[in-house]
Amino acid sequence: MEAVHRPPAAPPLSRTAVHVLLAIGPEERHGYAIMAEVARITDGAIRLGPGAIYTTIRRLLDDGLIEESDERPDPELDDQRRRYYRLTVLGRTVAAAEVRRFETLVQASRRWVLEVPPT
Amino acid sequence: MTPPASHERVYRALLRLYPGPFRARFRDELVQLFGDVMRDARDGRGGRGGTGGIWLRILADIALTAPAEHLDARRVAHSLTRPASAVMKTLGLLGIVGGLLLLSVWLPVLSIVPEKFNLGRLVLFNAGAMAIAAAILRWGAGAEWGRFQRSVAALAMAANGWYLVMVVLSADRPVYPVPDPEFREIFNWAGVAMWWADGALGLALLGSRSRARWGALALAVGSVGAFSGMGYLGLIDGELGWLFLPASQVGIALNGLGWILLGIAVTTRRRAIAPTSVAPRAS
Repeated sequence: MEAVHRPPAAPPLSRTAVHVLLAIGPEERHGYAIMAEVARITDGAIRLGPGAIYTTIRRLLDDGLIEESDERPDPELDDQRRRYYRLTVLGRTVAAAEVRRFETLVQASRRWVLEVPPT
Repeated sequence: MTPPASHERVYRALLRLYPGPFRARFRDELVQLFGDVMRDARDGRGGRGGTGGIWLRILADIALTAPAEHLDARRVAHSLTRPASAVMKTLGLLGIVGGLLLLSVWLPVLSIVPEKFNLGRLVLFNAGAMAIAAAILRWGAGAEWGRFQRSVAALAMAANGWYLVMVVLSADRPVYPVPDPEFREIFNWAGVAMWWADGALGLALLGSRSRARWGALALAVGSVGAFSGMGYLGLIDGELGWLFLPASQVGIALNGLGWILLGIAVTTRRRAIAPTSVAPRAS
C-alpha cells in the first residue's frame, strides 16, 4: 500500500524526535526498548511516556525517518506482538546531521563552558 | 492494591482522547508499553512514587501528546485538500445571496418597494436554489453526496427552474389582484413542486457529515412551513390561520437560512487532492 510521504520535519527535529532516533540507533527496537534507551542515554533525565513515544514514532514513520521491521522476536525470548522499528537511510542521515549539529554547538561553547565551575 | 487489569482498562479508556486513526494504529502497542511501565513500577524500577507516580506521568503524557496529535492530524488532513473550485464558490455564493433575499421578506421596507423588485428578488432566490442544486450535482461520484442525493438535487433544480419561469411570466400577467385562473393554477402547482422538492432535498441531505446537515434540516423544516402558507390551500385564511400564518413565515425564513447554510458548506468545502499528485514513500 502506498503511504503518504511528507518531507521530513525541517531540522532541527524536536528534542523528543532526536532522542527517539538516537535511541533506535543502528538497532531494531520496540517501544519499551526505545523508552529504556532514551532514559539510559540521557542518564535518566528524560523519561518518555507511551504517548510521547508513539506520537513521535508516528511522525518519524510518516516522515520516512524510521520504518517497521518485518522481523519478529523468538516467542520464547519476547512477546511476538511487539513491533520493532529501525532507522531508514534518510533517518540515519538526519540523525547524523543532528549529532554533528550538537558537536558544532559543543565545540563552539566548550571554551567558556569549561571556565564555569560545576554546580 | 488495584489489579493490573483495572489499570489497563482505565488506560484503554483514556486512549479515546487520541485521534481515531492514531488509536487504530498504535492502541495495542500503547497498552503493551503501559503494561511494561506499570510492571516496572510494581517491581520498584519505575522511579519515584510507585504506581501513583506513574499514573501522574501517564496523565501528563496524555494531556501533552493527545491535543498535539489532534492538531497534527488536522494539519495533515488540511494539507491533503484544496479549497473549493471557483465554480463551486460561485454557485455557493449565489445560494447565499438567494437565501438572503428570501430572508429579506422579513424586512418591512419590502412593502413599499415596487412589485418588480419583489419579482427580481424571487428570481434571484430561485436562481440561488438552482445554483446549490447544481453544486450538489457537481460534487461528483464517490463524494459525500451520492446518486440519491444528486437525483433529488436534480428534481429541486427543475422545480425551482419551473417556479422561476412562472415568476418571470407573471410580470406581464394579471395574477393579482385580477386572477387569471388558468395561469394561477399552473403557478400554484409550480409552488407546490418547489416547496416539496426543496423539502425532499433537505431530507435527502440530512445524513451529511459536514455542516451542510444543519442547512438541510432548516431546508426540510422550512419548506413544510412555507408550503402550509400557500394561498390556495386556504390554511392561513381558515380557523387555524393564527397558527399557519406565522408557521409559513417562519418556514420561509428557515428555507432561506437553509440555502445560506448550504451555500456556506459549498463555498468552504475542501476537496481532496488527486492521489496521483501524492508521491509514494521514499524509504
